[in-house]
Amino acid sequence: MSADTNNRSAPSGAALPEAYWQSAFTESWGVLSRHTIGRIGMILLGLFALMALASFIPPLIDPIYNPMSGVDPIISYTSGPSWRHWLGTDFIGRDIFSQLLAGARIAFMVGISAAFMSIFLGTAIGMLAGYSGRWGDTLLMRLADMIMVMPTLLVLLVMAALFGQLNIWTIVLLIALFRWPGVARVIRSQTLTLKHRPFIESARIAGASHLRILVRHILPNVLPLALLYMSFRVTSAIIIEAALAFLGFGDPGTVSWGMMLQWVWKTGHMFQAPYWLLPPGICISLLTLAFYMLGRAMEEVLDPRMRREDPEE
Amino acid sequence: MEKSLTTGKPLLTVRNLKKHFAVRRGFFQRADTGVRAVDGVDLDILPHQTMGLVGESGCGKSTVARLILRLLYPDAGRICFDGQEITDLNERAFKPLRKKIQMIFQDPYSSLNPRMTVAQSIAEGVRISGITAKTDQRRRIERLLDMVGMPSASADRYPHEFSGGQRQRVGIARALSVSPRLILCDEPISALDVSIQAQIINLLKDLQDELGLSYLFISHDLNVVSYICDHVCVMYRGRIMESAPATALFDNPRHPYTLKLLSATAPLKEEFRTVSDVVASEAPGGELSETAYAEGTTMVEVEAGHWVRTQR
Repeated sequence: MSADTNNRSAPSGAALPEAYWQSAFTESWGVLSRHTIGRIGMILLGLFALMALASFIPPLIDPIYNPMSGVDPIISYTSGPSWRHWLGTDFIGRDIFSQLLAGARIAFMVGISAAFMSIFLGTAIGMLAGYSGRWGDTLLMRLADMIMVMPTLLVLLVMAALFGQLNIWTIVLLIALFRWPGVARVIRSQTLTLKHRPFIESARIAGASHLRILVRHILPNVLPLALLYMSFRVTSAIIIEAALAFLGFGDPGTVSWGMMLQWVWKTGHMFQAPYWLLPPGICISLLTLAFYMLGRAMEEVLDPRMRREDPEE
Repeated sequence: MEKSLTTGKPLLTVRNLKKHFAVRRGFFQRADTGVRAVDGVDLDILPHQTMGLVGESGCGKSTVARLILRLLYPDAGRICFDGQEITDLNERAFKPLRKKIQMIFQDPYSSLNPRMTVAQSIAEGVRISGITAKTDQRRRIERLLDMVGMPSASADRYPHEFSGGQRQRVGIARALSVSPRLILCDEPISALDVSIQAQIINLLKDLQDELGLSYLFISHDLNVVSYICDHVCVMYRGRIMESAPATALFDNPRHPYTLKLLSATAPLKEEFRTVSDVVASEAPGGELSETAYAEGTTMVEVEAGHWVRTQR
């Protein structure tokens, strides 16, 4: 069965003809763009994506706009919005606007990579568990249960306390490692229903191996569901990272929105500098909301009867 | 319609096939006696012939097909294909037989992967068995589609673009793709419209004449069975009640269950209308209880090729 795990990871989408995904894409795009919530989500996501892309520009204009190391020679304290610093500066005179842009990039990076990894793990494990049945199923699902009952943030805090400051990629990896069980359960149940569909039997009659059935027949049918869960996972990954950073256990080498909030709080500007406090807070809320709304819309695209998972869990 | 019964060597022989499903009950999940889905079935399918397997739903017809195709493993009994014992083969050793025994499914909607084009579905068996060079696959698929009366342009379309009858044609093309000798048809027409049913049945008959196929035709529709089958087995509660050439079975049914089954369907002949009354009056002590039918332990040959399970 371990061979299955390794090979399963090969993107089977390539094996399918372009035309299917193309038509599926245009079709779902049609539904998605008619969906009000989905439209709002997509517009918000587009704005944040623009922010993330634009985060490379300020340091190029002037090194004082570097979000991490840029220090204004004139201002070395926090100041309100001005023409020189659109959203003001932080406690050592760094530009808040460029920090906000960099934070968008980090949020996307953390959210999408953590979600992708957890979806990948969850899909692989869920499919294996559902398809193998019996002992494999029991073993993998009990493991999933064990991980699912662990409070992610708390475990991450303990880890950070034990090992000192965690690198941003370590945080991403840990989030992924703690967030796959929910996906695995959904994918497993979907696999269970697929497993008994006649087209799986007909593949077996054609002589298909288990690996082939998993990759060619089951994976393409669970993939849309996995992608849906990805958007919810992005939300939870961003929130976890922000919480971790705000509590002071983030990666000190990156500027994330949670980090910005931590600096506001740590330097005692919580209620003195709203121009500093509000932007990252609003951004975290809006970005997670955007992903959530997109997920909601996608859910309706895929199947209106589909069960939804609370992204806050 | 009736082909003469050649007494050649059977293509597929099934002897005393058994499959029991354990039913787990109670807190400790004790395995009870379970459901005897297939309880000692004997079948002989001759080359180029159609064997009908009829019975009410849940009597184990489909389980027999799944046991032959190794989607399930039998608890007891022997299955021989073309003189070769295949009962205990492992998956690898069974693989060459996947080319020789194929299946047509009941539900044309769920038996095709919705994410695969028609060509991909049909090509799967061809690819796995490697019987055709890659460059010839396309031509082969188009020829198969032509054989089942589908335009070759449908190769690159998805199952949801077709009607039930068309999908069933694709399912047949899929079964034919590896040039099998035996096709198990598991209620291939019961999910289709009546008008389409006739087309599919005729297609199956034409293909049989053209390619020399043997069919195991599983159905609960006696009218269809009488039309397509050379030999018919009546199954009840996992056992064969009566086995006879189609004409003999329909003209001269011997077993009470067969009579009951015939009387339950829309009558082909006037006389069957009253058959259940006959059974009720003939049986000592009123109508036979259902279990009484299945109790019989021996099969008796009443005429040449006409076997009936007796009451004792």
